[in-house]
Amino acid sequence: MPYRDVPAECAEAQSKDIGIIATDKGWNLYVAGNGGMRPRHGDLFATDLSIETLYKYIDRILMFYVKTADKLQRTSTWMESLDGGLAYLKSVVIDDALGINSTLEQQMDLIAATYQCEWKTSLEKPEFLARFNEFVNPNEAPGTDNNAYQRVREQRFPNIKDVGAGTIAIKDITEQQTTEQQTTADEVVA
Amino acid sequence: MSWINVCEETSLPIGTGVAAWVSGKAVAIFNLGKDGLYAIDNVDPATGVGLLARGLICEMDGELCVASPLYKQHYRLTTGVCIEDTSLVASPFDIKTEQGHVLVFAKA
Repeated sequence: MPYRDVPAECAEAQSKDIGIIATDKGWNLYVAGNGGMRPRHGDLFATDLSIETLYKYIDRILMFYVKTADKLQRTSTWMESLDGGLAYLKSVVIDDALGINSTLEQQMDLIAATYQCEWKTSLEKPEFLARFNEFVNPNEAPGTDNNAYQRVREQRFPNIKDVGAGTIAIKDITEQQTTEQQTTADEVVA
Repeated sequence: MSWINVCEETSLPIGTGVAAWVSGKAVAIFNLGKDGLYAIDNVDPATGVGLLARGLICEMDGELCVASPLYKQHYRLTTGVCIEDTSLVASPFDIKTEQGHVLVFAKA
């Protein structure tokens, strides 16, 4: 969700799901823009909004989108498939035509309140962090693990029987070809 | 020739593998919950790289296997024998749990 404090559209607010642009009197809200393969200009939803109203409208629009859009449907295609289009969305969000605005706001508050940063949660849980250890008992490691790495062209490289990854790939292909040839030969004999 | 205490049973992740040191040798331990506990050599015999504990668990021909992350050979968890090439064996280890501890039988 980009926003921009000049009306020159530098942040491309009109190509995003929700875009807001500052004006002399408040904020202009654009919805259902899209970039990528199927660009769509965002529709101007409301003009000169106060910051409180702006937040309310965005919350309501997003929750209404969550309730009515298909799975993985972009807001741009949602808007185009919405019966009544922008006018209908305005009537729901601004005029509360369905009488669901307080519910929508409560639901968005719940989502915001229960949001968690998954990275932070992982860092706080030892069982998640444990998955980053290769060994479950790293303290039992032998002094030097000579089996794991070798130096190839001054770089650390997994210790493979024949030096270099290219060698393995070539070797495997030749082995495969040999077996395939043998199989064909056997089939001919049979 | 003895059972080595590797770790607490609770520190094994469920449904996937983890490597463990057993008498200086890397062993891949797979804790599949009700489907059992398995241990095979962590070193992929096809390449000599220690990474089998990182492999995906799967079932092939009714047998539980781990797919090597490098070239995707499948090794049976019970015998360590490769499905694609029976001359490749990631040797299996005996493993058991006792009083909440995971024990692996060290062969040497």
